[in-house]
Amino acid sequence: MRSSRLSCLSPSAIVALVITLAIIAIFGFSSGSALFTAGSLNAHTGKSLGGVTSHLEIGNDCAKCHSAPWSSATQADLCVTCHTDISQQLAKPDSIHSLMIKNESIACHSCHPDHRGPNAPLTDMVSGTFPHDSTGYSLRSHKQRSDGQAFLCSDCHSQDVTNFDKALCSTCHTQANKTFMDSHTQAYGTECMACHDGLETISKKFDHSSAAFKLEGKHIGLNCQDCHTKPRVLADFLSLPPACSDCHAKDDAHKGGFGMDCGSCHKVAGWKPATFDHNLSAFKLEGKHLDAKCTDCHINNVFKGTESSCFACHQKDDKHKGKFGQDCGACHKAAGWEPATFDHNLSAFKLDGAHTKVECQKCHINNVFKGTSQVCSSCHNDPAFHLGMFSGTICSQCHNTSAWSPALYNGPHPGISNDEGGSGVNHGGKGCRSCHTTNLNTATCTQCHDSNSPGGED
Amino acid sequence: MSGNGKELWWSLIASVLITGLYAYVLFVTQKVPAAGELFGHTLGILGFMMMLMTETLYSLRKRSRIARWGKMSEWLQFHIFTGLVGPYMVFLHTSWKFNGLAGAVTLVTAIVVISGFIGRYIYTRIPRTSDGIEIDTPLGSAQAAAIANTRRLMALWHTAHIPIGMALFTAAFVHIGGALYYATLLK
Repeated sequence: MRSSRLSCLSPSAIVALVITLAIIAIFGFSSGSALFTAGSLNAHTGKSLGGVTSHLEIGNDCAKCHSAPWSSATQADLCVTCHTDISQQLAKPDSIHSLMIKNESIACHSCHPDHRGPNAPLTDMVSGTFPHDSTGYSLRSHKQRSDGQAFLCSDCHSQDVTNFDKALCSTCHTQANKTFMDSHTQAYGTECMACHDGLETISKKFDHSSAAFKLEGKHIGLNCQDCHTKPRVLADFLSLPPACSDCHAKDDAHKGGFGMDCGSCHKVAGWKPATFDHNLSAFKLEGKHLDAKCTDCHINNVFKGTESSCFACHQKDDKHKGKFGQDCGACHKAAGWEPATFDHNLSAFKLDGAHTKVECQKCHINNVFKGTSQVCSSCHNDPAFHLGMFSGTICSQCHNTSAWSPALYNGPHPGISNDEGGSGVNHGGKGCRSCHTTNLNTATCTQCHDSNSPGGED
Repeated sequence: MSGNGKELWWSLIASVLITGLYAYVLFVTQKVPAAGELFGHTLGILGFMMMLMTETLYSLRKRSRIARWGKMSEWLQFHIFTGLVGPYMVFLHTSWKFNGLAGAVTLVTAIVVISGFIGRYIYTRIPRTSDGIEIDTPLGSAQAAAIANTRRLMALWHTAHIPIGMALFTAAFVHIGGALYYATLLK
């Protein structure tokens, strides 16, 4: 017959409960609180603190470290009661323990557990659980060593974790990549933590568009130190002056001849093509000058102060071999050498009459211009008509430049009176050839005088 | 009673899954889950809750005149399942340390579980219906005598299994109290 009472309330069960409690109580009182121990305490000895030299010596006095849940004291309070050196350290806000207690999830036992046996390490923390960020350096990039093992505190803090030997950065990183480190420390110095905060906000991944100076064109892809020369702290990067000439003065192919505003002609995409507005200068480019290369006129990178006279550049082109002087522009235009517009009246020999229609080289033989003889006979041969009668006489005594005929002869003329029949020596104003049909030695009257017009034809 | 041992298979599967989870945590954290840390502590809490369920719910069902839902045989299966998986989780919770009272609790848990195996063995020697109700054999044969012996053994077993279980829970509650005082509630 089954009892309706629960078996756990049966006499045997009650007896079992009582006996169990009794056994527990006996053990509890005799061994102190060792009944509840989670393992034996650490036996490492040190200086005497709180009357003991190791935790093991505390024995079963659990209350030394375990405050009652209802008391206001925390375990940390109990720890520093004996560990007075730590309580002194906590007075300094940047000491390692002060930094740690800022993190509320960290307790003393987070790094210093106990009840793990007498020979367990006094400090046992994985690098990842320690709030390293609070020291000012993040371990985000220092989780695994190059050999794949997790970083241990001792890898960087060889002596004790309260100190860090800054030279250690380059020791490890030079081993990993000497070539890079050599150039890196050359460019940026050896104060690694002046720039590196573990979060690596300054690195190849730095987004330069967040800076005031935007990288474009050929500026993209440069090394930082190509522009930021010898930065030693992060602030050095911010202090770079952004004018072109601040970096490019050394690249100035114009040797300062064009001033310091590189951007007025050059773009970031590249030095060439440059867009220089020559009209901003004293010499305006026109005609064929527009097609010239800069170097055609500007020798040896001389720009400002370049001679602007024609002859300074065109002397080598002078077909006149200097005979026309050095003012090319008097006849020539920038549009081209031809057509040249030479005003002969500027010369000693004024062109008029038929002379104006003559080509230059008809009178100017072998490109001789200046110094060409102005004497008629130097160009004009004495015709057979004259029969040498007038040799030594200047042509212009009878002739003018309009035409050879009619000639105006005022010399002695045998046979015909000067005034007879007309005005002038030429017998009624007739030309020589009216009577002298062949040459001056012969003459005929019948050209004009015949029986029908005895007075002569006009 | 469904004597096919289905509950044993369920217990095995559950234990394997829990073991797998334990192994994963072990691999990821590279250390044995401590009894007081998140995973280890959860194991202990859930395991103990299963042990409480195994003891209380089964007994209540057995004796209650009002709450009579589910077949007894199924409740026995439940009792065996929670009575195996719970202690297994508690065993993993120990982080393989058996000091003091906590170690004693582990020992008594093991004893209770083993006694449970023994009891189940004796239990199946008694002829029952599929609902687990004992069948009275009609004759005073040698078989009947053997069955009567087995019944006495079952009764004897109950006399041991239950008090030991009681001792277990007493010690377990004291352990829980101590753990709360010294560890869980420590500021």
